[in-house]
Amino acid sequence: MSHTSPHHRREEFEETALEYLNPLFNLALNLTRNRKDAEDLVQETYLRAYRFFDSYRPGTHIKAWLFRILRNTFINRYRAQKARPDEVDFSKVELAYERIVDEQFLQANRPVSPEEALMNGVLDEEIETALARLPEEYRSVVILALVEDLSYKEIAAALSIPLGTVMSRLHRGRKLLQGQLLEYARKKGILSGPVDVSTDDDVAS
Amino acid sequence: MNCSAFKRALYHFQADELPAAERAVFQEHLNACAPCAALLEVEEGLLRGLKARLTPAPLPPGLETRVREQMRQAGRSSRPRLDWIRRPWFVAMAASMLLAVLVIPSRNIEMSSLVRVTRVVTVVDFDCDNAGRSFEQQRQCARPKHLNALKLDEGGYWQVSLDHEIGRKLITGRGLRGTRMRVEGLLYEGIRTLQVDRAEEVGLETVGLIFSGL
Repeated sequence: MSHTSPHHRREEFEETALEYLNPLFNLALNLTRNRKDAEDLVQETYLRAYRFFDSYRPGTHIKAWLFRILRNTFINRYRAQKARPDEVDFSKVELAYERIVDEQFLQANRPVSPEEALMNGVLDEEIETALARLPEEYRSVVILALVEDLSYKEIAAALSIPLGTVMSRLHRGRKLLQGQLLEYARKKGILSGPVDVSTDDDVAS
Repeated sequence: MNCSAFKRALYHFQADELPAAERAVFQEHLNACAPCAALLEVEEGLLRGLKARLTPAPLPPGLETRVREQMRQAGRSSRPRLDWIRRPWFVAMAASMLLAVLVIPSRNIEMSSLVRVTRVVTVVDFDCDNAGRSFEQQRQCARPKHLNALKLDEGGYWQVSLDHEIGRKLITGRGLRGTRMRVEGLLYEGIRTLQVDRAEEVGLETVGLIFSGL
């Protein structure tokens, strides 16, 4: 951002910031799970960014800065108001996920690309539900990494968390997400086998 | 590397976040262990599938227009007020009023404890510094109500009197935040306020030269 008059800086900011409207809306939708709330959240994010753009430090990643404002706004305004769906329990899912992968995917006589068959077999709605069931701190990291393709450093800046936390949340988030999809696939008969991710206390203990 | 360590490093490998040396060890295990190679293949397939299916939602029609209009309205409503509030005379007046509030109830103390001092201090944004913000953040802070103070090495702050031009520039200079200065003047001990007669950046030219650029 160049050091011109405040008016021109604001115009420049407006144009630069609006480039990220689509990814911001996408994150907002995944956080709020409601299109109207997502639109409101995005509008509020831009308004805040516009009012406080003096606090933006030129040279920093404006996309990460906007994501941070959006997430903070969501946490402050929306999260407390909304009923949250049942969130998955990581301790139950992780070991079950690893067992399913071991038993269903890594056999010597495994069919060709069962993972592709799995991804083709689950519905968009099931993926959305699985994503919605992730605790928010995992969901944000997963969206920023897998959909927005932000680097670990950019995610750390966007969410104000250490790099190591980004890594651990992304790894856990992916396992939680994939574990739920495997369970959907098992229930639909795409995968066989007795392991039940959502209720398998024996596996978790 | 054994299979457990391989599993722990797998997602780091996929994200290309492993240091070169660890990546080489990982690759070595991958070449020698068929189950781990199969596991990587599965995880890559799942990751590809997830990325392909987690596509961005389409933008609602009219949202961009609404956001633009909202920002323009905010600009129109806030610009005159902000321009006015940021003018130096307003800041100086606000600082004077703040100082008056401090001085009036303490006049007796002020007159009984006036001493001449010379001290090396750090110029800080009083509010930001209290909030633990870095000097870089303090220099970026443009809030008109945030005024500078002098931070003492042993802890605590001195306010700066507006009686002299140097004081006014010390109070409002955003670029001075974080600067080490040797200040000289009359200290009103009771209200911890310094009337600065002279100030120079430590190790550099006199503050008169520094201020000429403000």
